[in-house]
Amino acid sequence: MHEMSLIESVVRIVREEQGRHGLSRVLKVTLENGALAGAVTDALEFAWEGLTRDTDLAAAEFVVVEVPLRVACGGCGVEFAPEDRYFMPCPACGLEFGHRVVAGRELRVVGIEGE
Amino acid sequence: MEIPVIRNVLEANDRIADVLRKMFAERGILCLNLMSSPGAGKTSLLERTLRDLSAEFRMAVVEGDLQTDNDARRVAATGAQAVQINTQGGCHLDSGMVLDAVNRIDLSGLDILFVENVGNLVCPAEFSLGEDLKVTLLSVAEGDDKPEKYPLMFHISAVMVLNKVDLLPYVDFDLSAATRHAKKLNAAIEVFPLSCRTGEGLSSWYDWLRKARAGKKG
Repeated sequence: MHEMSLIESVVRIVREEQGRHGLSRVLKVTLENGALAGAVTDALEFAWEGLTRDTDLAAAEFVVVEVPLRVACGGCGVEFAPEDRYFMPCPACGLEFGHRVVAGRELRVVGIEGE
Repeated sequence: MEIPVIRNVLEANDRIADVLRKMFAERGILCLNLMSSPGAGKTSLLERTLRDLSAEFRMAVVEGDLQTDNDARRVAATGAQAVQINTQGGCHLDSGMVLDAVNRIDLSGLDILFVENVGNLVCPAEFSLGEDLKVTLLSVAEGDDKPEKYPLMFHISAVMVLNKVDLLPYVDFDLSAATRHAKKLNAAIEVFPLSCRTGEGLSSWYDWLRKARAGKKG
């Protein structure tokens, strides 16, 4: 995926929030990376390190939280986290397809710590 | 201190996608985002559709490619309006590019706007273009496990067109396996095996188009 341009967006969001809340220093940024979002955590971290080097954000802790895929059974509605992305029989009723994705598509900034 | 924040990383793209969505809604235009790997047959499907349904619908196309205007030319030859976007190296279309292109199209009286995305089964899936529905093509020369390997693309598509069925005698492609893989993450996906070359199966695709168009208008 486009981790570099994604991190550019993250930096822009962080700057906006920093300004909005009057933070002089950003200490920590937390990003949620869903299993279906298509972004590779290593590459996100690498891009962050590259884009924030020589800026005041270089000292901030950058945390990527991976959100696993979670679905609701298309038949009985029971929620579960499939072990295998491609074969996901419902643990309750056994239905193999038609599940609704409940979590795992997120790609969002969910935490900014600063002072 | 901890700031309460939840901000979608792709919000800039999504904001412009909303602008496009509103433009289409105000005019009752059905917008379809056509995606596939390179060479699966997006442009061929458009050529057939634009010619065969020219009397029924007023249609236009936004073409996306890294280089050349080959596809816009092919599409324009059918008589439809076509605008070419060259990304120069970008591997997907984003809403900003599409808005620029749409502003160069006469939208009056338009029934359907097709956006032919850059050939790529990975990146386009992530970028909303303000479309109503996504249509993903897979050709039978590509392997029936592609829905498994590229889940997001098929998860978010309303339609999977299985193109080049005239080649089935020469390839190891199992139509029902491909369908099963796609339905695992998207039970409602409609599957149309067809051949743009021979015309086989096109009528089901056209029926779906008519239904989708009527749904947007109403």
